[in-house]
Amino acid sequence: MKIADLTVMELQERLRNGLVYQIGPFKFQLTVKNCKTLVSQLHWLFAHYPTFSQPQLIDFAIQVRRPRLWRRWWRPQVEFKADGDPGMAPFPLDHALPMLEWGSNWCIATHAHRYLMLHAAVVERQGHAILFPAWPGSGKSTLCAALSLSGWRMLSDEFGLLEPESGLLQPLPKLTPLKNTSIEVMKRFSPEAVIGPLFEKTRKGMVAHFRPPAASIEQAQEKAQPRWIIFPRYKAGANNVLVPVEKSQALLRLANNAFNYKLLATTGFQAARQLVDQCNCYELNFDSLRAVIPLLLSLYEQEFVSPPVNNKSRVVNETAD
Amino acid sequence: MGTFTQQQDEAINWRLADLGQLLWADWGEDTIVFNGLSADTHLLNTMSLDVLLLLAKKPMSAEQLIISLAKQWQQPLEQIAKSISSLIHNLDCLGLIEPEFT
Repeated sequence: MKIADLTVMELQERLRNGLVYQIGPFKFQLTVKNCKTLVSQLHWLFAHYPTFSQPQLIDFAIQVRRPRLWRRWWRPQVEFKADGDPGMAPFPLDHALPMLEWGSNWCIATHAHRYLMLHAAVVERQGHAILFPAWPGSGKSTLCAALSLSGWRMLSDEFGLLEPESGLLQPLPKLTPLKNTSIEVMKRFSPEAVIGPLFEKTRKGMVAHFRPPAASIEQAQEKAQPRWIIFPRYKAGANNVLVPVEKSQALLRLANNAFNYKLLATTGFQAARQLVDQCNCYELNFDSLRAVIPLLLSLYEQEFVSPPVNNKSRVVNETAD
Repeated sequence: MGTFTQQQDEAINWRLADLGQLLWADWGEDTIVFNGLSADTHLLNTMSLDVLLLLAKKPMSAEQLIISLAKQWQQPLEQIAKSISSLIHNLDCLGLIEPEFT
């Protein structure tokens, strides 16, 4: 059953008692009380996520609720609670959805250590994935959203979840928070883009959430083989070309842009090294989605059939001998 | 991390901190080394790599290192001595090499 199969009233009732829903490999039990606006937003934006009526093993029990005391009436607020302490100060009540999204990201980033968690967007085509590792503000979420409406499957806009044992990427198609000018860019890019309400003056400026296409959510159990690592950077006036990046540089940049690389220690390094082994690595400075999307399709068509260049790293003993 | 004077540096032997804890990746360009003791990842240039590879074979004093590298690189001793001494200090600070106490 999907959340869309519930009426708003049924969803509200489920949320009151703990709604269990699944995003990628994670099951959340979400309790929401006294936040009617959030209920209708979830009914719309979470429509394609599976939900369960039977008891389930859950990964994260989370709550979005209004604090007690006088804040119920004067400038009402909302707070996020989870196992452990996310340390999030209350948000204004009408910012409950961004709070839920950032809070659930915190749950994943601090607990899901069976994966090497790269700070990266991921898209896939015929089982082969592109990772876009980048810091916030690089345009990776916008690029990921646009590609998901252009024949690519969206795995994630934020978490490149790499399974160390298999070397495969695990989808996590959460809502994509578009920020500031990206919101208008995506609206102009495609009338098919489902974008939620506008939240102004959040800690990241103006935010609106892009809903991943239904197909991306329905295929969230299908892992993908990493094939390209592309470091994107939105820059006005950029020439929209792919520039090869040395694999050693790519590995270092991945290591510096992961949630738990150091925590996983040797496992993290080996996983990152094998990832780089399997991938061709590029840098992409772009200023136009219309230019970049055919460029990436062309890359895919040219390199899909050929093996990655320099595809195996040597180990020290080979070097020392 | 060692805090040795120049005189002491020349007298002591240096070795890799723990060869079993060092993991490497090398695609024929720069070399990456991961230190399992610190969970730090380092990008090595040729000079650093050559020092580590020599020390991976056997512990050496700074003087022995300078002589070996001068021969390997075909450079005059005095031209590389200062940079090798400085490099030994840096690699020690990063925990990649350590003085050998016997």
